[in-house]
Amino acid sequence: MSLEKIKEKWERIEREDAEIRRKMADWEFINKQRPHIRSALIFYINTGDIRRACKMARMHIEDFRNLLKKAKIPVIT
Amino acid sequence: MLAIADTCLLIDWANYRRRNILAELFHAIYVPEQVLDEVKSEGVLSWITTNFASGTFILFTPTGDIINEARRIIDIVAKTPWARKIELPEAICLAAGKILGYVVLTENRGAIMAREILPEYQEVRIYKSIDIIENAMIRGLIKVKDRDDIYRELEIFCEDTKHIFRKDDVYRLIKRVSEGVLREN
Repeated sequence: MSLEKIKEKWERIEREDAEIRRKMADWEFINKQRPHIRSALIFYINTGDIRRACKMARMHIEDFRNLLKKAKIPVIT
Repeated sequence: MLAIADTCLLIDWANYRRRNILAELFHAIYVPEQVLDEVKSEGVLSWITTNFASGTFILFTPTGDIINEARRIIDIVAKTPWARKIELPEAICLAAGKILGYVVLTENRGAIMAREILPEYQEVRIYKSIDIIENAMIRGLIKVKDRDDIYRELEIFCEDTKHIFRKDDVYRLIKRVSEGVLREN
């Protein structure tokens, strides 16, 4: 598969997953969070990139995973 | 079969009621020091240390060539604007997958994308949780007799880990397990 096809495939997958995370998320919970936590959750919804989201939230992965559960944001693979 | 595991996958499996199948599927699973450093909770650490004690898990200290290769992968992915960026823990797993032939156990999409971006990595075997479950079903470690059983088993994983699988992966699993197991019943 060419790099262009690989790019198209992953962009489609990332778009679909972001849409699922956006729909399932508890936005009331997210909007009540402190700004850096809220930004990290929104970043995760848009990208699915947990390591960078953790850094933005200044949290460890496990704590951030627990926060995702509370925010009803699914981890999709 | 030897494997090397990344953080998120270990966190998920520590919470999964059928986690013991890992010991039946793999001769040993290496856990890089950099992955172990990311685990903080008592529950997950306790499960990992129990597996260190039993020999199912082995602490992996990456050598200089693995670290250098991991850094090379990180740089190449960083230069690919659309790709999910990767960091040292998952890059070490990938490098060990290539250099040492281990199966890479990861949920990290950046690592999965990197395998497709780097032609020399296309032979590296990457198992996500759904692939491990599929192998366990095909080998009879998770008993399933029909599609309902398969769906129920996938729901158990999702319930325990709050993880969801992509539909195309679920369909692929059903097809392969149906061909490999259900046809024999």
